[in-house]
Amino acid sequence: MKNIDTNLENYHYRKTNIIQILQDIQSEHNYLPEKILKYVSERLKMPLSTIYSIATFYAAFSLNPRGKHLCTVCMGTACHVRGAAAILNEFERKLDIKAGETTGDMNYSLETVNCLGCCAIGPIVVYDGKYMGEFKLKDVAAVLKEKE
Amino acid sequence: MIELMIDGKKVTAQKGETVLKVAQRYNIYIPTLCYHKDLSPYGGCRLCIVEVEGWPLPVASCTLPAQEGLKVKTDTPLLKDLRRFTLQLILSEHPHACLICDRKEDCAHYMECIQKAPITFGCKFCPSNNDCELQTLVDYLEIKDIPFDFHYRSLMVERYDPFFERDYNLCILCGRCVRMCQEVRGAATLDFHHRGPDTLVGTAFRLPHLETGCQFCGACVDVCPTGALRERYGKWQAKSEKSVRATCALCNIGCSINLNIDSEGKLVSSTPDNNQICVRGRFGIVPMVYHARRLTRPLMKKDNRLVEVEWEEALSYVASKLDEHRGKTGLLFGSHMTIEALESLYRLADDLRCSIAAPLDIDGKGEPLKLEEFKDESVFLVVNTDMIRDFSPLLLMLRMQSKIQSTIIVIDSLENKFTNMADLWLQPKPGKEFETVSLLFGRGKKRNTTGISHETLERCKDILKKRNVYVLYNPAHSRRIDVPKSVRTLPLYSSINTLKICELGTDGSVDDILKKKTIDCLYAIGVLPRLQKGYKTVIVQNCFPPPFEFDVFLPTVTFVETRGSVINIEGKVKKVRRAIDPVGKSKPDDWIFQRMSEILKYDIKRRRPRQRKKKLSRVFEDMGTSKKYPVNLLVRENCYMYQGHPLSSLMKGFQRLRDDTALWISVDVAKKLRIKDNMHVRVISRNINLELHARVSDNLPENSVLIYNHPFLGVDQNQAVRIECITKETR
Amino acid sequence: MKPALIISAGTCGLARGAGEIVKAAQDYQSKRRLQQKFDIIITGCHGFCEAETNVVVHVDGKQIFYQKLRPENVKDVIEKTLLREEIINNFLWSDPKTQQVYVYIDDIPFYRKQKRILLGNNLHVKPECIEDYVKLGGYSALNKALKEYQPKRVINLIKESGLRGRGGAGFPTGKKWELCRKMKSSVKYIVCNADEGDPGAYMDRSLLEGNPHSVIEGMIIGAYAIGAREGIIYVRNEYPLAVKNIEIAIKQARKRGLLGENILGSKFSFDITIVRGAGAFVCGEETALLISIEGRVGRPRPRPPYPVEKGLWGKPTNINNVETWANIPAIILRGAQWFSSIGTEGSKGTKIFSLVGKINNTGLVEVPMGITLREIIYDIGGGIPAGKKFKAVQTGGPSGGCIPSELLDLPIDYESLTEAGSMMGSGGMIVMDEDTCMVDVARYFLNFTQQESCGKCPPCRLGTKDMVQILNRISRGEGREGDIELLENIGGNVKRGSLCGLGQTAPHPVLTTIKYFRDEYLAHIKEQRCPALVCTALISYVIDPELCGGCTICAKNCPSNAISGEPKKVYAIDQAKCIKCGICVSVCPDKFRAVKKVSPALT
Repeated sequence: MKNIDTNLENYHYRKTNIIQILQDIQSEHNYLPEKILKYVSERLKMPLSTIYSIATFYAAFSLNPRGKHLCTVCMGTACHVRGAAAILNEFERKLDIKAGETTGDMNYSLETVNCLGCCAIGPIVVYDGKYMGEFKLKDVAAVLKEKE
Repeated sequence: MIELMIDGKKVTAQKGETVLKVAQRYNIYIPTLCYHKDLSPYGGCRLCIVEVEGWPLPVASCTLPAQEGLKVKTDTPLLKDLRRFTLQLILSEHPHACLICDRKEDCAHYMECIQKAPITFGCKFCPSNNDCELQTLVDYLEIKDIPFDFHYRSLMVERYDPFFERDYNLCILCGRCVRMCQEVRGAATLDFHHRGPDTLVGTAFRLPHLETGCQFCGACVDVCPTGALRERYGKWQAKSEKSVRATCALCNIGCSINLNIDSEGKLVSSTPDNNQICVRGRFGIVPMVYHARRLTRPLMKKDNRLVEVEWEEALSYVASKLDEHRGKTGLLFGSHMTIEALESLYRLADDLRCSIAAPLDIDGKGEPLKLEEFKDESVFLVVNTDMIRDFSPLLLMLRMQSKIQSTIIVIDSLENKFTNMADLWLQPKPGKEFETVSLLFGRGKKRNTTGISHETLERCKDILKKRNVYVLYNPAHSRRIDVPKSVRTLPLYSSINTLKICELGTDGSVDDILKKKTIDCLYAIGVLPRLQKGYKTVIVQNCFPPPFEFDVFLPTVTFVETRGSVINIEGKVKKVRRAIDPVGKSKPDDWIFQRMSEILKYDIKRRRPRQRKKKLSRVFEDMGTSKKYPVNLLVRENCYMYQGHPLSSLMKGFQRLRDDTALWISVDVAKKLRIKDNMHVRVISRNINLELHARVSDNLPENSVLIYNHPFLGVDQNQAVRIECITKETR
Repeated sequence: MKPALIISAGTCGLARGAGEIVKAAQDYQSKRRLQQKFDIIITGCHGFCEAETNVVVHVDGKQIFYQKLRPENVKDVIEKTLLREEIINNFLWSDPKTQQVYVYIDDIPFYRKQKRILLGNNLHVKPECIEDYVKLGGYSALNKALKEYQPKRVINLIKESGLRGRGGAGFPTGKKWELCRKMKSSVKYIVCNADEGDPGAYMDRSLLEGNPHSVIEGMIIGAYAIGAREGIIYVRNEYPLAVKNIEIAIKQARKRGLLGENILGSKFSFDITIVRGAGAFVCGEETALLISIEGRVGRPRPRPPYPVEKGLWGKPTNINNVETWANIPAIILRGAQWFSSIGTEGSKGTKIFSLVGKINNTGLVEVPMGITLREIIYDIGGGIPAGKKFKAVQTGGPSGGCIPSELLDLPIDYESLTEAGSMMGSGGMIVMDEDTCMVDVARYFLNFTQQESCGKCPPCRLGTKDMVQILNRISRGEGREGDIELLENIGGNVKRGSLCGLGQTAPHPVLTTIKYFRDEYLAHIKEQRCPALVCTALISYVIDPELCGGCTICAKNCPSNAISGEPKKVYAIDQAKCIKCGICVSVCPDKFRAVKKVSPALT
């Protein structure tokens, strides 16, 4: 909780900064742990329901822990017309989870993003922070194998 | 003044007024759904849309500020189309068999249907059937079918909380409950979560309301236009046919309420009357009135057995006994009855030379709390009182009255919803609350033993310096507070009619009377004392049976079955109404006193009651823990009482809200003594020796236990105690 | 100027490996101690994304354009071109159609036909270096505005220039400023909307990454004109590099006295803070954006009151989009006349489009208003790859529509696009060829808006959902008679009945595809056929026995063991087992290309 206090201090305990505060928590923990949200609610004197409302509204936040590896498929229009949906399907099939879920062994999380703004080189997959342009269906197996 | 046109009619509006409000003022109907007069406009439901000349698209009139020269049309074919479309969409997500069924009119009258539809789509199972705003709108917009695929959310109905249930399958996301909970009540238990087609209303993490800041005031239920939020009690009862405007007498605020009655004269619900009320008035009245344990026939002990008797027999017996014990009768009474009954009671007591007492800490002057006196930028210093739990409507009124920049500072060693919501919470060590107040005003001894840091006290002093300060405290657990003259102290008496009893005075405290050796006969009216000796005759006048033996029981009515007046904390005299006939053979208190005086051939209206003691100053002792009594016992008044019974002992919902008959134990004490929830423990001090069941709470300060006092417990103040663990039984 | 190696390193450049190019160049330079001989300039995106990772070699006043470099090529580029002025033909860009090779950047058709007022400087400034920007005349517009013009004069200039909001709706910028200036309030705010949510548009990202000071300068001038002391840049969190670069730029501007108290010695004070969005498309809507800045859930509220009357914290607030702000310095410096000489009667200046999808030269193009779609797609974009046929271009993102080939000669401006049923939007331009199914595109966009709907008003929350359901069933081959009319009916009502811009424009993709490609809808509904071979339920994969080489690769890769056959002989797909994942198409060697799609599906 010490980290959280520093985080809150950075934002001067202002309720209006809650989105930025949650972003920092999300980037530290990869998700928003319920316990921490309750703590933030107490410290900021902000209703937990409000924080929960924000945390579920904005797509950047996740209330469930994510896996060791994060795989994000860009579903932007340019990527879509170049076959992003099939790539996502293939990931879903290979990992046996739906987009937004995490595998049971907590190894992989699969997510989608609306657009990364790299439309020219789509379809794009971001794997553990690494951008991969012109991604092909057959690359799915290769990427997952490489990380095993 | 702004001039504009609505439907070709020239109308005038105030600055800031919305087009919808102007239209309503001119009796121009615009359908609405998310709009509610007590809430901020939301603009979400898109039913109140209007066309404005020169504007490309229709706009919501509930958020449209009136502007000079605006030409508004409220009813065009386009608007009708769009409204119908929108409502059809809403209904594609709301079980709507009850709304568009061709047999709905017959159904409304006979509730008969052999079709499969009612079971599948729930028209028979919607508690709001025939009491639903959607039905009105469907009629207005002449909707006969829903062209869209029906989508059922398949959510579990939330039944796990007391008092009300939530079926979000019926929710249309108008957000009224959310705004009510946030804006008006300040509880912020409900909010929207998720988004788009997944949007729902609910608590954080879908927690039960009991685990949130919910006050169970029921305001959300009352603004819900559908059957999504529903009171559990009387859910399947008939629709109310009429409402009686009355007063809730369950506490000293005396909120105005509407008593809703069905065609058979049965009380269906009690709802607020354009105001805010609390859980007691909203959910406590009806189940109490029709409680299974309520006694509604006079009882007398004959051959050591209680038997039902007629009123005349019981009253003659009581009168003869009172006559016999003239001068030796102790008369204890609660403040629940009407002023008229109280006055009769006093005269009766005078005639029979009874010693009378009420379980109240009265103070001769009896200052009413005048809300209108509060100025802007006030500071309210509240000592040892959970205003959210015990005085929430008053708290909302305070806030409203001094809207601008008022600050609430709470001094309390206990943590609760109120301390969490306050602008500043000072948490002194148990028993050091008054020292804290003295230090804040630079009085009393100089040394600070409160446990609050010097800096915090200084910060607090700064806040107090430049503003009007009001100290609010509950006399039941606070001594008179020592403050400079410029600071107003206002006692928060919790029971209705306390001001009246302050004016009439008593013959001492309840304890004084119970200890009096000369008293042979005890007459307990709406109060349950902890008996300390045997009596020749014990007479009980109450709605519910007492936990001790008695000779006669006189069943009285509740405040919804009688007429008369009560006086509240503000000094306002308010009317209680006879909304329903007395249940069973129960009778109003004043009728009983009247009859008794007739039997005694005594003219009850003859003269003014004699003068009595107007001030009872209880001596508050310091806690002073010792080796023998190492634990701090904190005592708080139980403000959830009626006629001497804790509401929690009568209604399960209240018990779940807070188990106020338990001994609450701080985590460290529980750990040390290995006490777990529901174990039986004994609390022993120099004055008390009680057996209670235990509850562990992390809201208590270290090394402390807590009791919610009521007369039957007889623990009237903080003291040092010893805790002994008796059994490991669970209740 | 010293010889220099200018490396394009925006997000997409980095995704293609610009980082390694930079490292290779730096290593080489320091190993050979060539720091005195040439500079390495790491810039934002050069716009020609197709050519990434590209570098521009600046030598002897000329700019040689090399494309698709690998780190191992860097040594050659430095030794030969940079130091000896030799051209390496292999790295030059050649037109895929004419095979003509181009040496200099300015000759390349992609660049030649553009008018790069805003994007041009991306080539010359290191985003984290304020000096570069100042050297190019940066902040002289601010200086001019503060020293020479009264705020009112600035507003008049912008009004005269005819600049309209680049965020999509095209409200006249000068008029908005004037409204905000006239509001009586001691506190006013200006906001830069950098919540570029339209999938397929990324010009704002490119500007913020490549030339953040141009946006900041525009904001300072705007604040001066309006009388605001505080500015906020609301930027998508999905753009980490943009966030970083503006943060640096703001710090530098403060250091130089361009932000903060008494800017450039005047009485005018102004500062900017950054607020990161958290992934909600609807927060690009101005009221939702402001609510989001206030730390709440970004559900739009009805207007009026407009933000210029009651905006952030209830105070008058002027919101403009990144590209709008970036236009301001140029207008101040070069004058309103100059600006209004570019473009059409009603739409002045240039507009940046992101030209993506099925097109040869993908990238960001900045063109004068009034240019035709044909010029953009064929002259700048180089046409459709692999000899396919152009089918439609989608403009305006989820709020826009699809424009068919009949309208290719449409001169682009705000009005013409709206008339065509689409809109300018933020400038995404997604080119589609014959392999794109229009039902699928409509379904894609509706699915997007449906998920991004805030959920507040029923027409948007439920209307879009119903439309998605109908489109879903059409693409599954379960479309019903009358579905097209139902879509049109719902669409029209959602447009008119919704609370905010998101719902009011959400039906556009469906309505325009129905308008221009009704046949395709009918093929789906009546014949269960997807002409573009996209809708999975309506297609089957088959192996052409004429082409199959029996290499066994498809059978080995098939996840459902649906392909059988003997090595060296023809393979076949068992339709009952096939899950239509498409792996077989993807793995079938180019020399065979034996797996084909057919529609309607085989049973």
